Amino acid sequence: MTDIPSRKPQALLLALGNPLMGDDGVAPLAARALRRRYREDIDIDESPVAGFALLDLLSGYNRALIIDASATGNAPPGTIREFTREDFTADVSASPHYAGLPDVLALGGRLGVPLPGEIRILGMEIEPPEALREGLGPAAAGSLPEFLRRAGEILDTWIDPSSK
Amino acid sequence: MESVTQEAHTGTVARRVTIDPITRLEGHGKIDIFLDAGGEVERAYYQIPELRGFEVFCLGRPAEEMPQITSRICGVCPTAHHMAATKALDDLYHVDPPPTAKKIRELIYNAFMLEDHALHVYILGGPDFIVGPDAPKALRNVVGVIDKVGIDTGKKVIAMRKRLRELIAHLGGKVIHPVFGLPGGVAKGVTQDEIPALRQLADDALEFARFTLGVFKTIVLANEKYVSLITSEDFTHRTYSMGLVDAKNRVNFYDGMVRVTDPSGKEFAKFAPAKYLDVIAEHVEPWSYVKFCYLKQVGWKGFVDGAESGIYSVAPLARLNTSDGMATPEAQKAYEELVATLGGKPVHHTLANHWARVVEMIQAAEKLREIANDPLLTGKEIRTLPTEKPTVGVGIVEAPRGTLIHHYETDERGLITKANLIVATQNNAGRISMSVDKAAKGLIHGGVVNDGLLNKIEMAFRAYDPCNACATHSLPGQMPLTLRLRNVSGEVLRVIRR
Repeated sequence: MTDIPSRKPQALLLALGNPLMGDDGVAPLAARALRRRYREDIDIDESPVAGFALLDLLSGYNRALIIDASATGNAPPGTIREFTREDFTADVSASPHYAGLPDVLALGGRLGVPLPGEIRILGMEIEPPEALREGLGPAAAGSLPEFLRRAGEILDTWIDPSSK
Repeated sequence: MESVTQEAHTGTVARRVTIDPITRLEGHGKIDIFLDAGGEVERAYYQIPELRGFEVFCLGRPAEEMPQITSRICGVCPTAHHMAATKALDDLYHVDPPPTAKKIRELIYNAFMLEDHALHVYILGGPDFIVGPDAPKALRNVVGVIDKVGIDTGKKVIAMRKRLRELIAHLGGKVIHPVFGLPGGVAKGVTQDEIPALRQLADDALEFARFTLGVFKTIVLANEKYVSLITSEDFTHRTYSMGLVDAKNRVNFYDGMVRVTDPSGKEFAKFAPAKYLDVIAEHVEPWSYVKFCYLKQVGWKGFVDGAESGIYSVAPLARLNTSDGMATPEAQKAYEELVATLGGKPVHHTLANHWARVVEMIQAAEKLREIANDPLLTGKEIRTLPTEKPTVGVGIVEAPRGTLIHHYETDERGLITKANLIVATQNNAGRISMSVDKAAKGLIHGGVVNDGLLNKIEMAFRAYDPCNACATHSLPGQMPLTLRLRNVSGEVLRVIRR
């Protein structure tokens, strides 16, 4: 890189989820745990809102790790999986009120919004929350350390790529 | 992408069809369609999800936490919840915020309204009119909208939303976690050196709202096919309308009395927020936990139109119907044009909500400009400190999608003993159900579910901009529409998903 180094971190850890909705809060909880270790090098943000808010949140970064809860129903709660952009881009939502990542990336791309060239997505399958509740259920709580480890593994390569 | 899955089959002819329009099955909006023995639609319902556990979650918590908690439960309109809760706290602690605090709240609120409406007009409702209701499915998405309005317009929308959101964040804390509202006022004032940028933004916002009206006129109103769709019986229901009005019965998003007009446009009720339970009651369908709001004095007569039925409507069109006009001059002009074009007031064409939303954008922008030029805005007195014991508080605002009610009761230490929310979409649930029912009846015959059903049903309910009052959004982060055909015992006969 020959650019003058910017003071703004180039990488973002974005945790999506709502801590008031049980397991849905797993990513924000993980982000808080990772904050101490990475805050010097990586911007850490959390949001209960997805949809087009993602455009504002992701804009301006070179790299982003999105951590989120997943409720696909095709894996047991606590399962951690990495998704790629390609897992989503095939299916732009027909109902933009609930715009997802594909819509946001498609819109951002079309409008020339500077979105990260590298986006990695780590999800933990959860029990869909049925009521307002703070705290994680046993499966999500049990997988939290592994979730932190997997997220940390990705972030470490961004802090010092030569160590990879 | 649409796939059809054969999940089970029984010989039963009476069936129930469920369209579950969101990733998370629990706590989200759902459409249930009951078929009779001949496979014709008996009745379709839109179910507003119940926010389960809300009252239990709140019990014993300090009332002051409510603006923060409630803004976090909803990922769609945190600012509306924050404001309704803050106003409920004013009432609970019997404090009247100083004029400057009210101006600051109203400034933030109008910025939010404009930003939220812009998103709907261009992005959320866009596929229905900007791309067109008959456009191929592959184009009926946000990319299709941008291709139709042009990339420069798309950039303009994104840039304006960004500036409005930055203003909200600057004055009120993060957009998704607002912190400005306190009982009796706001946390932070506006300084003189912030005014020039604020005025510039307000001017640009008004220009943007005018531009949006122009886009709407060019793309929608100039197209006779669209106009006849808007005015068609398929998308028309003659119901009561509800919304907040100011002292002159003009549209107000932040404050005022709640006014209800009947299907002929005559005032039926006008009440202070604290009296909402005298006017609004909830009906529970025997087959479901879902509650449908209706007007107590009229009574629940089922899912039917007319003055005899207590079903009412909220959201932009209802606000225009229930007021005598807009609070600002350019919005008033746009309002008069809408009313004249659509055959006079009240307008009962559901799809006219899209137009009403643009009219409201103009009012929100003009309000921004009015407040930005008001010397009261930079006053130093931003809070009246509560001195009385807390008792009961009700706060009502107009969320972009309609009347939003927060109601708290506390003990004398200010700890919550009772909490009740009626969100906009709950107010609208009866009428949305009627719209969905009409769409379903037009498309399902002899038990055959036309795949176009999903599209038309989406159009019917999307005009209301329903909010599912819940911030969960987990991956894959989009809204697959799932339509379930069930027999009377609840067994799934068939699933259509996209």
